[in-house]
Amino acid sequence: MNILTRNNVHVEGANKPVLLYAHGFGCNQDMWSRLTPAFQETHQQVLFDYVGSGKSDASAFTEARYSSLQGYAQDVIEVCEALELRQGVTLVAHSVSCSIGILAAIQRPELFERLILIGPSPCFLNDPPSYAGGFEREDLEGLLSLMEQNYMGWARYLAPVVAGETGGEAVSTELSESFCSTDPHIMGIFARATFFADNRADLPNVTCPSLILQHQNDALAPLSVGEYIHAHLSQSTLKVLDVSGHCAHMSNPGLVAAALREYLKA
Amino acid sequence: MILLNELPCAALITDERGSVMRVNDALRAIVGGTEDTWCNQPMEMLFPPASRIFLQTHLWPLLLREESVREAVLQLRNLENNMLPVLVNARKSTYEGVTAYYWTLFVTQNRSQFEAELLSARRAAETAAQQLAQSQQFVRSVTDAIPELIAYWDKELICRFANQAYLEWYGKKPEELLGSRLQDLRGGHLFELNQREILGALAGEPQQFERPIPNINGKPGHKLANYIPDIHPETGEVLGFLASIADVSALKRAQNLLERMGRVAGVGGWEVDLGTGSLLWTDEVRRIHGIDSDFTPTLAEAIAFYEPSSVPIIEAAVARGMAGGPGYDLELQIIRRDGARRWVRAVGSVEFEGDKPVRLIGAFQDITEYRRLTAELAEQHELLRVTLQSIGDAVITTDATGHVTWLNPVAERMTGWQVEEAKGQLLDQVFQIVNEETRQATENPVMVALQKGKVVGLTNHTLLISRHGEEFGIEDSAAPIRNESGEILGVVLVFHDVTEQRRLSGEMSYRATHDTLTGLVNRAEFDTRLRRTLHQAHEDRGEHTLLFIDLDQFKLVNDACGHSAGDQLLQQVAKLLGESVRARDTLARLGGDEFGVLLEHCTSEQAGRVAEQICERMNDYRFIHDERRFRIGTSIGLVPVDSRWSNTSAIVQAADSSCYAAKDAGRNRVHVWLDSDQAIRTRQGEMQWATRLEQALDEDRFQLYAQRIHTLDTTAPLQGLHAEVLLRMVERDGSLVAPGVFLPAAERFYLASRIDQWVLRHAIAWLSSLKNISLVDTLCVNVSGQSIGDRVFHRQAIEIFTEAGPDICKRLCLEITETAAVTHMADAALFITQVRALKVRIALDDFGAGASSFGYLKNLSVDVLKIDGQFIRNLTEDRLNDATVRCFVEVAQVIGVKTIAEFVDRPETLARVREIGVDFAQGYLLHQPEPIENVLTA
Repeated sequence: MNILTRNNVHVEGANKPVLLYAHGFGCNQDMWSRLTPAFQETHQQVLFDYVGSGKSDASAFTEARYSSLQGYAQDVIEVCEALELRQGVTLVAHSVSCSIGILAAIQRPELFERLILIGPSPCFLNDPPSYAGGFEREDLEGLLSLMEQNYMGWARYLAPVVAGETGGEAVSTELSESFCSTDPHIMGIFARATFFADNRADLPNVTCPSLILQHQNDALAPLSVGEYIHAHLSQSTLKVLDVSGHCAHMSNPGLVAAALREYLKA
Repeated sequence: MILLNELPCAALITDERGSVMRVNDALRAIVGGTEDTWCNQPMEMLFPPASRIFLQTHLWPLLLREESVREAVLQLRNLENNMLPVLVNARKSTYEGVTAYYWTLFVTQNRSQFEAELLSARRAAETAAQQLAQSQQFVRSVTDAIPELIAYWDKELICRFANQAYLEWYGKKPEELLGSRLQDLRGGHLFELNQREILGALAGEPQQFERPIPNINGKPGHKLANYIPDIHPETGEVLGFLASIADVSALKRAQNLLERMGRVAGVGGWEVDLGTGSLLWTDEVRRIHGIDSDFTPTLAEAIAFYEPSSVPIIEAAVARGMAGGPGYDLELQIIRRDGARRWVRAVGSVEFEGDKPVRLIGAFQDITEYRRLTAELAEQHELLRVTLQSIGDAVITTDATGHVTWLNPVAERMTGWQVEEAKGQLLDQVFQIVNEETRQATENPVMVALQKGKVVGLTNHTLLISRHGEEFGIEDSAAPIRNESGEILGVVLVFHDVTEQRRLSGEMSYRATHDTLTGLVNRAEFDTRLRRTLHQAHEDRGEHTLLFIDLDQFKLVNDACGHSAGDQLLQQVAKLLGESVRARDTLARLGGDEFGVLLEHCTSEQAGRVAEQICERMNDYRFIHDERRFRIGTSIGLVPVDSRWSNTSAIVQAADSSCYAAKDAGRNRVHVWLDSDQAIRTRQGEMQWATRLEQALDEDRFQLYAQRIHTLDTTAPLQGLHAEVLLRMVERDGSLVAPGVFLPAAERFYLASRIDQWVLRHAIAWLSSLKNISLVDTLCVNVSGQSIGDRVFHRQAIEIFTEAGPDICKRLCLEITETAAVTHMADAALFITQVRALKVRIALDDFGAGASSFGYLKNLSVDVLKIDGQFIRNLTEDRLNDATVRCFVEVAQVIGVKTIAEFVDRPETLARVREIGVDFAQGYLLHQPEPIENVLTA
């Protein structure tokens, strides 16, 4: 199987240090489009979609592989191998991809020079008293049901009926397509892998340096989570961006680019 | 703001960061609070956690990318803390000059209501269409009387009359049409189209037909035409015909819809006019028969499709129907034209007009697939039943109220209830369970499964008491049975007998906590007890002690005598240790040749005495194998276990380090962990050693020394220099450090191989720098045990030798200690073979130090045996040493290698070794080590 097709890999530039971008849950590689122009001159940039997300080949999706983050880490490694990258890769990861990147970096320490972790959380669930991931198990079950409703959608079921025999199709597909995956089953598995993962014990095993970019106000990854990672990830640098939400590279790409450039220079 | 309030739905405005700028009244009516409550708050506050995640992972990325979101479902938390589903729309815009996002939240309950109304309107329309279709027959019968389009054409086909509808249809004024010829209407097209019927009508036959006829504007209309001949009542002459034409477009559409619905449902319709006997089939009926759509069978032909044995049945049913009898509903087989057999359901009933049966109508459905599925289901059900009858697990099913519906034979045996007796009983009656330990009734898993609607997993320690009082240890689980729509129909309870398993589990837990070889407590259990003891120490400030015991010569025995001897040794040591400690102390085998003792309520002083005693006993102990005796020393690390420690791993680490310290200090001794300040200093000291060594390596602060080795064979011709390379570390202040001080640290911190490499490179560099290399005969270089076991070092050494070339290699001799060679036998043999191929010689250093056997010499090709100094030092006083050295020399002669005696520091020793026949000697008597540069000149 061609990995480059399977993961919808796009490479920009050549013969320069490599930035490999890994998108988060619910998104695809398009989410990096505001950040990548900043590194066009200086870096070779690699973009991809996880199997099951974006324009990847969904037929390559197997529940066995992708029901744990290790399977997604394998995607990251296989993309590197397919591009014959052997070392010096800087992984720019968002949200759950941070945990995926950490697993990949533990498995293949020689491959990654640095990790850039945007809004990471090693465990979304609370584990009292010592750890507050921010969520309870039933919250995440609630998320799964919300996803189901939004993917399958009232529109898909009801719109054709209401609109008559024709004319409903266009409306009904729009929303779920814009969510970067057309398959609710696949996204459900990804969601479980993401939100039920606990990668806290993996943090100390990372050997390469990392930059943690934390959002000032982030419902998904509170500040305490960033501090937890910083404390358990050796050679890590923590930088809190004055950004609300969970997607600084989309909402404030300039800030992220500046932080990245400063770190990459050092 | 006023505008926002005029919106009929909840709405808010946020800034780019998702902070609320405005909320409208409708939203506050749901979530409560005032404008101030929400302003400047993150909008997430409005939503429960699941929706927050969805908002962050799906909606914001979408909104940031596409600047709008349509119709996403989220949940809002209302005042009563209930979840309210809302449809969310958002769009980027500006508010008071800044970028903002406008969000509208449509409570889906309102929306559903609206949709429900739409739906019901649509359903009403469909119902109407159906009713229309049902009245098709009626409509058809009244078209004669109430035609929409009516015209009269005479026998010359001249129009004599046309009503308004007719005129409008053809777009004619009365004066244009009246008196015109039918052949001229629509340029003759209409005549051509209807010629057959027109001629038929003129021949006196009434005509009825349906045909699409476009109106003047080209709009298609479906027409049902009746041509009724006008026959002179007396002459019988045809005077013309009355054309009455109904527009049945709407009717036709309804009929089409029916046909289509029929196709979707696989149901066809048919009709027999009892007056004419003519049969009408819908397309679906034709499709089921596998015939073309233009085929119209007679009733007899239709019946002939039935499979022969079914023919009389259907004939009788139809005959009964025609005679005005009841309808029928039969499942029969037909044989299609292509020969395929299909099961069909044929339903028929009679329609009356007044008392008179006029029509036989019915439905026709292909049920082959349905019957196949039914059969398959029955088969599966049978399979399931047989399976449940025969599996080893007991199975009980109940209905949704917890009453037993069925149990399998195993369940019958275990509960003591037969299925007939148990049926209808409350499950608690049949399935009585108590907790194994408390004997209290246990919560019934079926009830839990029914209440929670979830699978209830295995519970431990459950005892089933049968109707006859027998007791079974069981593990059970219960799962709800649901129908397709998710309603709970009942519960299936599965359990099995684990009585035997539970008995075994006592044994299992013993095995899980004990070492199989020695019967001592194992590492896991030891850790548990240590943790418990530490916990207790924190509670009561008590004093306890931990001993770490490492056997000094275990590897030697294991390698020399094999693993089973090693095992015997461990068993004997375990027994011996057991005799040295109190019964309440925990003695554990921690792995390999490591033992641990946890002495509870025992001070360090008391424990120190125990440890010394162990050392003494071990010192006296000899392991005997094949008439060989081995002395097995122990190194013991002693650590107090008290509240100063925060965790057990620090204690274990301290014990490990102390044990190492005991080894470093010369083995067979006890090292007591120093109080924590000192301990830290010691550790820092060690750490400093690591740094100092690294720095010395980086800065090349080592110096090569050499000690000459003298030949004792006076008859031999004069040779070049023969010397052993020694190493000194140079401190920054220029002082020298002896290898005895830094080599143990180098081994601890895995720097020995780097040091070996350094020595090799510099020794070779020195050789290469000589103007006349033939002045050197042999240069011996030591290689550590760590390097011998390190394949990376092997590769590097071979590279160095290859680069140096044969002229240098033949002058090199690597000294490997006997212990290192024996410990890493396989690696050593490989390394030796590789370097000897490059002409580098090998000496076995400290030969005899761990001597027990020479057998291994067969596996190792060496060039020199370097007799351990302990035998030489007091050679002349100790007759045993003298005999040993003689023996070694004999061995060397047998295998054809040279011998060297080291530590020769007295003239009489030199004389004796020469006498015995040792080939070479080295020692302070002969030469004091000096910088290597000087050995040639001196």
